[in-house]
Amino acid sequence: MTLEELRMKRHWQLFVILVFFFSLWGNLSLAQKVQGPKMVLKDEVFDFNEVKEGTIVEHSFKILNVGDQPLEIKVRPG
Amino acid sequence: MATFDKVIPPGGEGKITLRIKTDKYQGSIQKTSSVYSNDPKKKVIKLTIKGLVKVPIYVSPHYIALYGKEGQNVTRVVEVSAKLDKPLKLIPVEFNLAEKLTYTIEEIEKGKSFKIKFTSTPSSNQPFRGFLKLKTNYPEKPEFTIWIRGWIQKKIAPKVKS
Repeated sequence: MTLEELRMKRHWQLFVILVFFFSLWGNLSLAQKVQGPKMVLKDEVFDFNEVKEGTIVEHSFKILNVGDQPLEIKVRPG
Repeated sequence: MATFDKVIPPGGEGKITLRIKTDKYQGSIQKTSSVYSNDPKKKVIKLTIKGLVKVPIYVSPHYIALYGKEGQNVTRVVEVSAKLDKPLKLIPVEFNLAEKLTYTIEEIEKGKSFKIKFTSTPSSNQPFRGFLKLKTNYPEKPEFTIWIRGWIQKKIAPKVKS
């Protein structure tokens, strides 16, 4: 095998390895896309600091659905 | 109490509103609600509301239980302290367990802190439930109630085999 043929062979090997890694990376990216409902909350704890006895404390927690399916929720105290 | 959007469309926004009535709380409180969803990665999450409820008069506890056996003197103490910068006066106005219990009000620090001591009497051998209502000189909290329940069990004489 000539020196030129050896070089060509190495270039081909490198090309095949690069194609393999790029295809693997593409598959991983596809897998990371959100499928189904996905719940995102801006905060999970609300501190009202100090209130006088008898005050009604109320807070609304915002929920985002960043998925591609409807998000269904139920809330139970405790 | 909680109100919430049951279904949130893809890309949409919803809300969960939690509400607490603080009239039965004093000092620091923390209330948690569980949120169950069809998100496979967040099936359950906890939402918490916390903070401090300031009271003009601190009463601890509001509820007492006196359980014991006949012959024992069961005693419970309720601590009352003024949280405003003015002297507190307590006036008992209604007590519906006079046959079952006795109570004393001890002023630990003048106008500032008190101990109300409840003690069972020999006639408290049936389950009982009642209260002591007190008036105060604070317009911010003109009265409060201490709820009481209990039962002093009779001694059962051992059976003697003849």
